[in-house]
Amino acid sequence: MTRYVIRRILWLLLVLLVVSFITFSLMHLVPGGPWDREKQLAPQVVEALNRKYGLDKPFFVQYGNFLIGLLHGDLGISYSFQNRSVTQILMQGLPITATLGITAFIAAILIGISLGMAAALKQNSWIDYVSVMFSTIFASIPGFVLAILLMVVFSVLLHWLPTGGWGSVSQIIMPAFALGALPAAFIARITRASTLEVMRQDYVRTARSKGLLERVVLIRHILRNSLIPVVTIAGPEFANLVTGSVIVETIFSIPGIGRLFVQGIFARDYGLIMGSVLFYAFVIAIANMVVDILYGVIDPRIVYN
Amino acid sequence: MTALLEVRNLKTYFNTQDGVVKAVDGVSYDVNRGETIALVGESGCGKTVSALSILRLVAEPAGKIESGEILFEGTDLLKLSGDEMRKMRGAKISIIFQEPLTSLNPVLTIGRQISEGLEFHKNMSLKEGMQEATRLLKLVGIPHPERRIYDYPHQFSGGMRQRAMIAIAIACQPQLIIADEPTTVVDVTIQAQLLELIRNITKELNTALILITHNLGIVARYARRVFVMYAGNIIEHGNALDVYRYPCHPYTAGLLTSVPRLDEPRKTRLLPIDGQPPDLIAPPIGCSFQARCAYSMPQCQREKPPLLEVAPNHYAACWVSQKEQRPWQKKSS
Repeated sequence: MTRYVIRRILWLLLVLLVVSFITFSLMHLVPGGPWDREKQLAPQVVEALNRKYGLDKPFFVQYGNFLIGLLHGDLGISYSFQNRSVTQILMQGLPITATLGITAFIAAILIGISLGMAAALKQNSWIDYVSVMFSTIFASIPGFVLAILLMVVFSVLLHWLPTGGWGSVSQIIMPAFALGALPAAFIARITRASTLEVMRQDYVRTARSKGLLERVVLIRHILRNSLIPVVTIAGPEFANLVTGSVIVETIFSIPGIGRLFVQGIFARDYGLIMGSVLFYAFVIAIANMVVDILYGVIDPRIVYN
Repeated sequence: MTALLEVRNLKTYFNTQDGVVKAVDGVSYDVNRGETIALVGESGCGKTVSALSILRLVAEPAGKIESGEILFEGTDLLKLSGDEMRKMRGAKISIIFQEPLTSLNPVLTIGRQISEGLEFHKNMSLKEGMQEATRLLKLVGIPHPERRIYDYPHQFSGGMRQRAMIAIAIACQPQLIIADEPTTVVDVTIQAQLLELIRNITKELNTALILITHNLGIVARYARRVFVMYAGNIIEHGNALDVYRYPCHPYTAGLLTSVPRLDEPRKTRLLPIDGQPPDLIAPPIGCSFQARCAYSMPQCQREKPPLLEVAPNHYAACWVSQKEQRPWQKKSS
């Protein structure tokens, strides 16, 4: 187990290295640079800036310098935010993105699992039909469409919730909903299917033949087994949610890492782009690792080697 | 002395898209305290459904116990509330299923699966339950039970899993155990061991046993009385040895000639019973075995034969047999 985790961490480092290289190359391949403005800067100024930030050096030297900085925990200086390091900027956005992401994810898991379980236990009842209908609808609406729809209904028409910004509980409801609806819908569908499957298993009949309370049969024997496939998709769903946050944060003008990322791209702020991409890659890789380890915790048949 | 269990005219039907399947259609039998009876028949004859009906574990909503009585120590199980029935399951009546590979929960330890019934019915703590589970595993012949209780089912072989199932079934010392083809999916060598184990344990605990099997060959050794089922009905019953030596229904005779016997010369050919069991959605009007029967008479097509005593304590539902002609007996007697 420990060896497995160590090996996964080494893999994670390799993944991050590859991601950083690809992102770095793409950034430099894309036309335009950090000093492009509507009113062009004088060539001497651009040259001076390039020299100051080391952008006049050959590509691999730049990449090498970046990696050296990274090893020291230094992602460089942001070009668009005056005199602030990328690390500082990201650290400011991190709690916001984390709060939004975790709220949406927990809500998606709780709602998805309960909806899926309820649908399976009352198969072919109205609960089942409503649950299947909702999960089909939310699984097919992209996050940005949902975000705008929510905004139109709850902010513009009803004036119940603010259209964006960050700081109060009312400002987290719509973005979390827009972000979590899709994973919730997927989790509900998977939970429903696997619960229906597990309910038919012989060992559930065995559990009933012992005279156990229905509640115990449900939680100890059915839920535990039907959650195994749910855990496997929780990793990719978490990744979806993380990438979704880029769009949702931009739409709701939430000053999280997602919006910084988008701003960074528009400004060709190389340091900010690298920093946010690596952050996302790290989060997704960690999420998948946690899921793989959790998988073995709930299913004793999984052995790590 | 009243019987421990009396099943009277039990009817369990299944609603399917094609119609109502009469899986068990008016079955009656009884089990005395500490007695072993056998319920014999080929696949799909309703023996498992009739056993599941006793525990009221027939898969709902498709399956439904239509009518009848299941008297256990004088109380009709079919009239009990859900809670009262739960207190019966596992505590007074327990079951050993056919498929040890799928009948244990893959994510719980063996010990936990034995102990949970004890925790519920005997108010044991988890710790006491696990101690008892260790003792039970030892009783059913699992080596190193103190370590094995922490194993998961996939770490057990098929035979060991069935031993664990037996441990679960006997945990609360029930008065009745139903063993539903307990040895069908394990190796022949293990089969005999498991049957001996079940027999010894039921004898020791003075537990009654309903042994469900399709193998008439093993019945005489383990059961005192035997009930032969065909197409949802009991078509013959009596003392195991009588049924074995003098089958009074051609179906029973067919079952006997279709399994290898050690007491006959090896050259004897096994004779399968030709044809298929009847459609249980629309069973034939007369005798349900008539289409496959070599001895059928015109009466067999018109009227369903009742289950009558054809010899002392030996009952058969067969017009031919009731006329005291049993041409099929020549071979075995």
